Amino acid sequence: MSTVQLEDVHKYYGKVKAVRGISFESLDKDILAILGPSGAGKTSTLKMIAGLEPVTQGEIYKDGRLINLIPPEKRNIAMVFESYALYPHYTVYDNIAFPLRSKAALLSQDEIDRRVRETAEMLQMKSLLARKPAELSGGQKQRVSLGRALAKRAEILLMDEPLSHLDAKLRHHMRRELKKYQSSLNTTIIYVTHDYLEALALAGRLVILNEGVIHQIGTPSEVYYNPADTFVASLIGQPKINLITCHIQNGSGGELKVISKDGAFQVPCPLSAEELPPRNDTVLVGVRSQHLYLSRNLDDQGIVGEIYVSEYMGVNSIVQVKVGHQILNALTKEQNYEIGQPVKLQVSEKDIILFDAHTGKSLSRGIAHRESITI
Amino acid sequence: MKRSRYLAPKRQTLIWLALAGYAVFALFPLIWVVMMSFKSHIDIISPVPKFIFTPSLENYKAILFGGQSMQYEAGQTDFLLYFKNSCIITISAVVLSLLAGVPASYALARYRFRFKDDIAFTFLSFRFAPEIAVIIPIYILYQKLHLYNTYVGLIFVYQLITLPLIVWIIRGYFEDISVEIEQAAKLDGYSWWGVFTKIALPLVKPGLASTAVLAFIFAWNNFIFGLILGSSDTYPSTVGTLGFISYESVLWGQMAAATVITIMPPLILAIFIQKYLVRGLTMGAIRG
Amino acid sequence: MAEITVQDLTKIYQDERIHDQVMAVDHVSFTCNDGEFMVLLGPSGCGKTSTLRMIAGLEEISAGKVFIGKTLVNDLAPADQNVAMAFENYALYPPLTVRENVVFPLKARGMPKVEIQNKLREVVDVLDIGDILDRRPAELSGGQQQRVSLGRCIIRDADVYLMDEPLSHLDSELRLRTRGELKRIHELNKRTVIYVTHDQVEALALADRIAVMDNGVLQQIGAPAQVYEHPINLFVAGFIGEPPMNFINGTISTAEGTHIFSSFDYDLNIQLPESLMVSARGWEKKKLVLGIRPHHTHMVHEKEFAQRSGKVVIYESLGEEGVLEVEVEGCPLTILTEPELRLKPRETVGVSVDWENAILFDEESGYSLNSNGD
Repeated sequence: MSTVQLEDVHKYYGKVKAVRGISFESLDKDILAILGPSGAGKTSTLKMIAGLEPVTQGEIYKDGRLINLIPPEKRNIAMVFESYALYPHYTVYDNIAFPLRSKAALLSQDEIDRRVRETAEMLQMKSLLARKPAELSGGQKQRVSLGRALAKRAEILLMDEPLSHLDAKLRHHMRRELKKYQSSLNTTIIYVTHDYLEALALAGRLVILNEGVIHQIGTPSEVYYNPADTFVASLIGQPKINLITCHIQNGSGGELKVISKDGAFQVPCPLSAEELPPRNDTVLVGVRSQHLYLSRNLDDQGIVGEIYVSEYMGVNSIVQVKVGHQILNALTKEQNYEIGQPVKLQVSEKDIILFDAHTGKSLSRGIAHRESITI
Repeated sequence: MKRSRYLAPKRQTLIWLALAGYAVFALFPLIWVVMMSFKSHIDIISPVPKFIFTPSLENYKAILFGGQSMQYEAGQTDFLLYFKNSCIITISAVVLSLLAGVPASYALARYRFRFKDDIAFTFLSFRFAPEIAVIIPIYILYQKLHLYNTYVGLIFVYQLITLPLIVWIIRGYFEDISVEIEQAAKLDGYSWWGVFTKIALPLVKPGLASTAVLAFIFAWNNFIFGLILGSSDTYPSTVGTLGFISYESVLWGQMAAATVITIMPPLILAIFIQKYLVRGLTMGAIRG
Repeated sequence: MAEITVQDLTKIYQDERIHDQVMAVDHVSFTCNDGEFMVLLGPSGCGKTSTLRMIAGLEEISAGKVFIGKTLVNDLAPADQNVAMAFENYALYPPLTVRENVVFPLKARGMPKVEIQNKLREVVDVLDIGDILDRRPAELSGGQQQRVSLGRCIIRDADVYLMDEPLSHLDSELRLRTRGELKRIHELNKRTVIYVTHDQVEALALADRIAVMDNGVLQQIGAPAQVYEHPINLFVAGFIGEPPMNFINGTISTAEGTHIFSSFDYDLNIQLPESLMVSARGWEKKKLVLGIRPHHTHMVHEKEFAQRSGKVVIYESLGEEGVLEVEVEGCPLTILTEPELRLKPRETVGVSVDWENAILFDEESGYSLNSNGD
């Protein structure tokens, strides 16, 4: 049983407020991902949990015990650094053995050797044990730094953008490798990343952080399908979610409709009049690109648009469609659209998310069937 | 991947010729001293410079084993004692500087504290003032504190040469180590002392060695401190060499031999650590 | 109006570390047609940038010829050709503002002020740099500098545009946007472009044709769909596509008219469709690699329709899609699926594969059996 809990934690560097009152709790033996753009305060948060940075204000608990003032070497927390932070003067073997040889670990020589070999076996790097870090490739370094953190068998494992220095191909590969180890790790992990794919793929729950403030805490499906605000919606998903500024009108049959300013985009309103806030002059309509269906048949129902540009991506194509003044992204399996070609766009009502145009907060949340934890 | 080979012989030859020319120009004084140390007194004072002569070891014998072939009694000088003094003072000064300077440079590189930059600058400022400017007050102080003409006093004053050098260069080396490496070691269960001795020190070891040698060379070559603050018991060999100049005559040959022996330790060290020395120096230059 | 023809282009570097010479570009030949957007794609160090720099006249050509139109340009200076370039590392003029940087090439050619203003407005819209026009390069982020550098390139009315990783420093959202705009500009104006990138998605999205390079050698030239669906060798097949293509090592045997592919490493026998055997005649008993893209493999909910059953290794729900790795008779297979499937490790699922879309490669040479004679 091991959890980490943050209570209203602040971190200021002089006048810069990196973290401004965040609270969350990690679940035992689960991966909690802290997702946010650079400068969100993710790494500061992680370093406060590790004890490498002092907490300006607030409390950090490990298993219910306040650890604000406990030095890092006594916290029994392991960390994988963005830069890998391998010890250049030690071999891979000694790097992994280093935490086991500390006074805190109290292990016999045989036990250390057994654990190093076990870890190397698991991460498939037995052949690398005699090498120095300078002789390793990026992926191998990443593996060693993971191994060093795992060998220690700490209760809490912190990972700070562990894959960000790898090229795209290797990053995807290592992400899947990490996912494979996940079940055998059996430890509580807090994983910091700016890559939403890593967060969705690995985490049980996500903390979405921006400018030192939490926007949403939830499972991958909650943050993807039920984002708390436009920030969360835009952060997750590629291409970015389409956001169209609209106002709400009564249709001819009395039903509610959301219509863009230029009138080109209009869809039925997914919320009833009672569910809408009283001051509802403008809303933002959010539609994910894969929920926007394209039809070449102009007799079909739907919104009129014309192709702005289309990009082939192998399996899918990203098609940008001009609707009135807006350009919307659609993800389709079809290709060979011509610039200027007219198309019809269809959106299903269930795929529409409404946001308050002033605050950016979701209006659909709380009404949708998926529950989400809010702060 | 395919490989092939080509040569540009003309350009290579030109570069070699230019370098050789410069080497002769730069090394000539040194070569002249070495030649002089093997010459007899007559050959040395010959009005036409002699490049061809019968080499002899007389000068070396004279300074190392005493005066059997001395032509003049006056100007006799105890070169071995001065050489020993140089060794004692210089090595002790470097060791002391390392003991004090390495922790200081680590603190300057890693910790944030009040007046940090002022302290760092103070260390550096020791190197700004010419030695001659401070030597008279130090001389008076040393007289009063009974440090004049003692090893301790000279070792202490040599810190003005060695300490700033070590603090500034080693600080650069420490700053080169990623902070995350030390943070990782802390999380691996080591106290700051463990991190310092197991991670930081081993990582700066190559830099440490070359900087120590550099400090040794600078200290060894010093002249003015030994001259003013030492006396015939504690003169380093740089000053001791002066003893070959007397009222009556100058023992050119023995002086040359003493010079050759004196430059040997720094020369040998410099050749050995040449590669690291350049890195140490340029790093100091950039950081300083 | 210009096409670019490259004949046996070769670059030899002196590598100081190994005191030997390295063939960075090895007899590369291709033609980029007039109005074509050609992408040089490959991993770092494959020679794509050297190739571009030689075409641009920025680097000495060790051997071979470069023609722009009908003119041999080997010995011409970059300024003598009407070539516009955008570099990965910006190369902006530090004392000039963004505005001055972007219009510099037009001013240098004495274009009238009104026309310059019109051009500038277009470029500013396309690259979204309106709010930084009066800043100087030192005040800009890497991504902003790169957009300015790209602006200075596309504002020109050049015969040929050469771009070296012009989007590499942009964040993913802006990269997507700028990529779309570049593609649109090209579709509308049809200029000759050679574009270097290591990002296979960028190459697929932008190119009319892609030239894939590895180790200084040109591997394949073709339209995006062609290199994606019909890669010429294992390198191209593995380099293009995410998640990567599945590869199974094995051999073919024929008995009673049916062709069976047997894996070396796993107890896996696959009956190959006739269409795949057309090019595989005579390759029985040889060492082969069977490649199949993840989107040609499917997870089947109704078990009776499944060809086989597989054990879930990992399942990633990535928002737009899902990536499932299963083991079929121990053999790992990556499958592209729907997102949001509730799958647990070690769970059994049905697997079905469109083997007619598979590709057979010769293990020894790495080349696809379809590519005979190429």
